[in-house]
Amino acid sequence: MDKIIFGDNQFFGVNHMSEQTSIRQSQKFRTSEDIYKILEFVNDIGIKTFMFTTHDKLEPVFEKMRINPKFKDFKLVPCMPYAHKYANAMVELGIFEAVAKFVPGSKILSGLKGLGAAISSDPIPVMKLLVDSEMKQFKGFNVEAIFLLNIVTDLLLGLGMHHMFYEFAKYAEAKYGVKAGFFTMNYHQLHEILVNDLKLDKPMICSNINKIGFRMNPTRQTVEETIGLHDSTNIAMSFLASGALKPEEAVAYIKSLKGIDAVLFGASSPDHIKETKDLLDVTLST
Amino acid sequence: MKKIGLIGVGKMGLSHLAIAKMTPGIEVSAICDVSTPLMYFLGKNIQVKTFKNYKKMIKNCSLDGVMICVPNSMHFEISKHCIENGVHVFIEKPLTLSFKESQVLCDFATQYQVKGQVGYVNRFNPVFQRVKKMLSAGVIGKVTHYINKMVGGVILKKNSKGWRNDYSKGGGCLFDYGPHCFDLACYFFGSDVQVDSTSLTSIFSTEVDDIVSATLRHNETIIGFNYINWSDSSVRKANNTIEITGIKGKIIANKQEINVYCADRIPEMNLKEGWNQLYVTDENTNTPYYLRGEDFSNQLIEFSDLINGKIEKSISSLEDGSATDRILEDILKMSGGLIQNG
Repeated sequence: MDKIIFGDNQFFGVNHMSEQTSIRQSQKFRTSEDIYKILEFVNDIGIKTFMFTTHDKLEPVFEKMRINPKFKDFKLVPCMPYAHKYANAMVELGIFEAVAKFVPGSKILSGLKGLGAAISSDPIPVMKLLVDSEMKQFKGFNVEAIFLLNIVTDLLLGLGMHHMFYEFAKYAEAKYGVKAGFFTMNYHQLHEILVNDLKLDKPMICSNINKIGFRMNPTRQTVEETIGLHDSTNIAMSFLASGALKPEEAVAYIKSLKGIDAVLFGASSPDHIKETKDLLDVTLST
Repeated sequence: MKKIGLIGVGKMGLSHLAIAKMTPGIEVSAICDVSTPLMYFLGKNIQVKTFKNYKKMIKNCSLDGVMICVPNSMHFEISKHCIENGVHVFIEKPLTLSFKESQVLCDFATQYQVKGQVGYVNRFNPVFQRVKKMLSAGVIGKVTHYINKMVGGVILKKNSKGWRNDYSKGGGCLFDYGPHCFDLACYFFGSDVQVDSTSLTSIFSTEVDDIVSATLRHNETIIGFNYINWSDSSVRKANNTIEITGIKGKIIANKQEINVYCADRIPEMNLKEGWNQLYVTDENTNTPYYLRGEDFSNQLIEFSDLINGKIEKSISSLEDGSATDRILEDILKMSGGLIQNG
């Protein structure tokens, strides 16, 4: 995995600190062409991995990439499921009806149609169908890994449905020949499950890692200690703590941990992207 | 370790279930929902007893507490039953759909020595808690006015059906967003509230309002303009913004950031004269388990502390919930019907 990974929050006006920034960003990325141009720049300056949620808005961007040979060595890391799509369906339709909508023909539907009919209590086939439906659009692309978004990772972690992590990882490997990864806001607890309970080999975990310990749960110290074991592949996100840290000190902290394999960051202007990339290059390589 | 049950496993219920399972001091030992496939699924996949009838669950499980996450119109009946059986209650907002019923629950809770909490999650947001501290410390002096706004995009096209289009089921922006907004005002300025004027406007809903505006007067002296709109398509995610004017300054805050103007410097709170900016990153947001915000985790830690006897009263008590229900009822009564704009 590359050391520097480009993220997608800025394309969707996601900013955890400021509404104003959100509004500015959503004006900047009105069309798929706006997004494509930034990704072209990212590719040109040598950032070769893009990590993103499977948002409908990105589909035309991938189509453009597909026909441009410049993107031949560009790697995609889809993160799924794009939660809003399913969350909205869940609110409108209910949990099972939503699953039925996205996974036509799933066994769960029969439980609704005739109460008491044999229904499936096994979420694994549904998970596989959902992964397949999200993966369709990346046929022919160089997919580096498949990540589970934190809302789902952390929900399964909380509910105690840990076997789903194992099944997801096995399926990604068997069907697509790639590693599975997990976004989480609970790095330490997830690490314990993936490494110690499920015995996954160096599982990929992407979580908040920053000098001020912002959203490093349960505590910064615990997270730092676990990172230090380096028995998982650790990807740092929010390393600038949504702008609370100066880039130099933020990067120095990442380097000091000695267990971070990659940094995920996003920015909306070419200058800013280049600056951050150069800083990461210099600090992480020395 | 206290045993709790969960009644109603919809979207809110499912998230509460995950958070509750990870909250120290409590153990989820039973859940209940009318959906057969859902109970079958969860029964097989997470180690917990499942029920379709809440009375049966209360009877069989000797629970210390329950979380009630059912549709709003069922809050009263189910909460009353749990309280009468001596079970501590966490009830999603709004407490009930009538001030009278909410008062009955408060009285019953006292009578049966049961502790209660209402799901006003804004009270557990670290940034809003900072605002509360600033107000208590007199950072902007005596408050005279506030402008309180909550906007989101729930109803964005014509809607003539479902519970959201029915006041008796807790629909309307008034009963859906309204509770969060008015509770936040009560949290900051107290629940001695008089409703001065209101209007309810419908845009897309046929039977209920989509936009609420209300002027409230707290403690006879603090005037608050409240604007609540659940049909705002410009908004990515529901958000609250409040601007508070005091005689010595001003606070503008949302869930992520505070801008505070101080006429004088306040060294004990690290505030300079003039504008100061504070962010959520300045607060301690560590939590044992995070699913959808530290506020949601913190409110369950509070419920755990409450039923474990570590605290006597929640900062989001049944009385607080009841005060908001009175405001909602007064607004509906005073509005004189819907202004149709759709």
